[in-house]
Amino acid sequence: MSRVQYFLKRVALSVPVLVLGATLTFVIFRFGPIDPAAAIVGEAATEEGVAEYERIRVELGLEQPPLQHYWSYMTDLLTLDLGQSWVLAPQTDVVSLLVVYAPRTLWLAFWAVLIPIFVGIPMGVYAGINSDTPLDYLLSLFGIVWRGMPNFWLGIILLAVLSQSDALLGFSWNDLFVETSVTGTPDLSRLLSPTGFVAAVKQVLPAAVVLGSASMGSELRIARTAVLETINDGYVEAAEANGVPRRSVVWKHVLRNALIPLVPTITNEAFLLIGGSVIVEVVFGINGLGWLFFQSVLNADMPLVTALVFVFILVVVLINLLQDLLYVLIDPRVGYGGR
Amino acid sequence: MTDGPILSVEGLKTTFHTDRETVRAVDGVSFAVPPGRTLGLVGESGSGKSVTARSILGLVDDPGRVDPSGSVRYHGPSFVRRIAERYPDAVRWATDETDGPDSQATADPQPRGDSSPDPEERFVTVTEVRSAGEAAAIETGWVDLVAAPRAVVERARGGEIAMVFQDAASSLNPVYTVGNQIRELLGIHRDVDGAEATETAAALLESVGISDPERRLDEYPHQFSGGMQQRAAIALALACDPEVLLCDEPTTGLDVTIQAQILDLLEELQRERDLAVVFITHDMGVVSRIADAVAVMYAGEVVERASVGRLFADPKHPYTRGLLESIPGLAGTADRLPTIEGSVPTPNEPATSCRFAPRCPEAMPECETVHPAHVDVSAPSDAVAAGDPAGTDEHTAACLLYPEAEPHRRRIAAHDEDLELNADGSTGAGGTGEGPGAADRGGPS
Repeated sequence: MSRVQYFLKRVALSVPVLVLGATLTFVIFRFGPIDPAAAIVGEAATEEGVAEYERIRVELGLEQPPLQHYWSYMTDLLTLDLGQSWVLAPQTDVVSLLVVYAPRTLWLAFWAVLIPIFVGIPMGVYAGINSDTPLDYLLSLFGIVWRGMPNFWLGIILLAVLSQSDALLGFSWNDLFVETSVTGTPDLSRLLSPTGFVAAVKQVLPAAVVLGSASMGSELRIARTAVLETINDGYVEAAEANGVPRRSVVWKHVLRNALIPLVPTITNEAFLLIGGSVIVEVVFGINGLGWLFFQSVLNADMPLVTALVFVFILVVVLINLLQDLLYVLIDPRVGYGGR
Repeated sequence: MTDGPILSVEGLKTTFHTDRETVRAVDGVSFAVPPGRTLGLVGESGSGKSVTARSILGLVDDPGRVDPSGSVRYHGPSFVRRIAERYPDAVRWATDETDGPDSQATADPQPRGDSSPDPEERFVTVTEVRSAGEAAAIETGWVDLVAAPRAVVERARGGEIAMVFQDAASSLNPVYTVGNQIRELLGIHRDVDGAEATETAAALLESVGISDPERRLDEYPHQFSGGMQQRAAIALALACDPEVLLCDEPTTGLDVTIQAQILDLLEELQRERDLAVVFITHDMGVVSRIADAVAVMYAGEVVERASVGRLFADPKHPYTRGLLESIPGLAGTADRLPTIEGSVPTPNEPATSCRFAPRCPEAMPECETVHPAHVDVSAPSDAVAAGDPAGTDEHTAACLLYPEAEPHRRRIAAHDEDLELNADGSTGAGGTGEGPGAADRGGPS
């Protein structure tokens, strides 16, 4: 049962990573170049301002000795008491902000991960199986171009094209299927009704395509390489020699082995989505976590910024664990011999 | 039909076309194996042994191409019957005309005697038909796997001709359990699944000498040792229930004791199942243990063909002699083991000379200009000495030194003439007047 042991070991190892990450946010918060309390109060040098400043310092715990502050900060974080926002939404718990903003980003990220997986990987697999054909060259070129286009540029171009789709494409994007606008926050309250679902998907689709574009390009290229490598492996020839039909050689023997190098690619791209969502959410006006982070930085809402940084660390650690779980499920050799 | 070969290869040619050159990896190879017998295919690295095996199963990848002038004839009667039924238009009736026209009339939609306008596309040849009641049944014949379409070759893979590869570790899929891989093949070739398949798979593992098979079925290849992996790979091939087993250096890379166990296992399985085995190796010691007949390959060609007893007792071709002399223990008490200088050339030109000539201690000027054909080199007295139980007394070598009895001039002329006669590339006909496929014919098993 060394696969289970391996996974449990990875779970245990992620705890120190979390603690270290949380410590880092504490250091930035307490010893960073910006005094959080000053940033919240602003530049008013009045008497009230000074009193307010002192009060906030006490409330943020900045007047405590560092170790004591560190201890209370860490216990708060690890019990998921993420504190409050001070500037953007004064006196609001970060957790309740997350409840409002996070689902929009999750919805966007969900499609931004799904589209590359279901478009990029099949194209890459097809190119790998039919390597050195004209279609392979076309797909590979497409992958490189798609990979090379920066998010912010692609986002603006897509925005420009879709908002004038009447003139440029001959149909109105806004009126397609259901009425939506090109930019704006998806309405996730009506997901269970068909039109509500379609509207919510359509609303984030341009943003998701932009966000997933880089992933799609690299997943296409990695899938092609992985298939090409696998297809020349001994067991593929052996399966063919023993009369396994071509279809099941590809679907059973090639694909699962080709997935092994694809897993880290997919999860690594998922990390990039966090950074990318900040840009894309701002460009497409989606009020999600990325937008919230951007705004909290602009407004110097330090408590909110550090809380969000911790949330992002948490997400990255979780994606890492997911990657390990996928490894364990796909490759029986994981954990074998490497003790 | 019991004494005919189950697999015969005639003038097989496989070429690899690259921008710079055309490599004739297999250049006119012929041999045949009857059921229950083992043919050893020996030669140095690069002599084309493995490509020959892959060509038989149509596994040669681009830029390799199997030349349509050669043929790989599979004689398994049930397979020939099935394919003949499925592709009636592709059947060529080569039955003896003197049999009388009635015997095959019912099953024969085509005119007999191979008068079809497109013989190239007729990959099924029927040589004998037995009338059983109303319907005539095909008794003997063959399917040419070189001419046959891909679908037919794929049907022959596994169930008719299976293959065991050199590197067992890489011929097992690392992400599926051994049981899963065996059950997959059982489902394809024997149409069993579920609990029955698991049972059969366990029985197969047991028959290849893996203890505690039920537990082993649920293990992954990386949990097996090297010898176990090779046993599992053999079990995979047997799961297909083949008639012919191609073994591509299956014991190379295993230590000597495991190697001996695998050879014992193969011999035992062969006896039980009446398997025809083509055993590819560079190890003369292994050949002497397991083979009934031997074909020695050099640079894409078979240079000598004989029963194993004959070959070891009386090697004729200078290359074979060199190979045998360089085996430790067989070479006597010399301080230094004799070697063959140089290495196998890449056969990238059509054969117009003897390819061994540059390394041959007995080369003469003609070797550079005349391509030697196979000639009979068996001396009647040797047949007895070799103690050949199967009576496969044919012994041919492709070398200008033979036939020994002839004077030099006529010898050379004989090879020259053969070359012209066999302009289509089959180097096999030799001086015996029989087809090369007859090399191993004869011994009822």
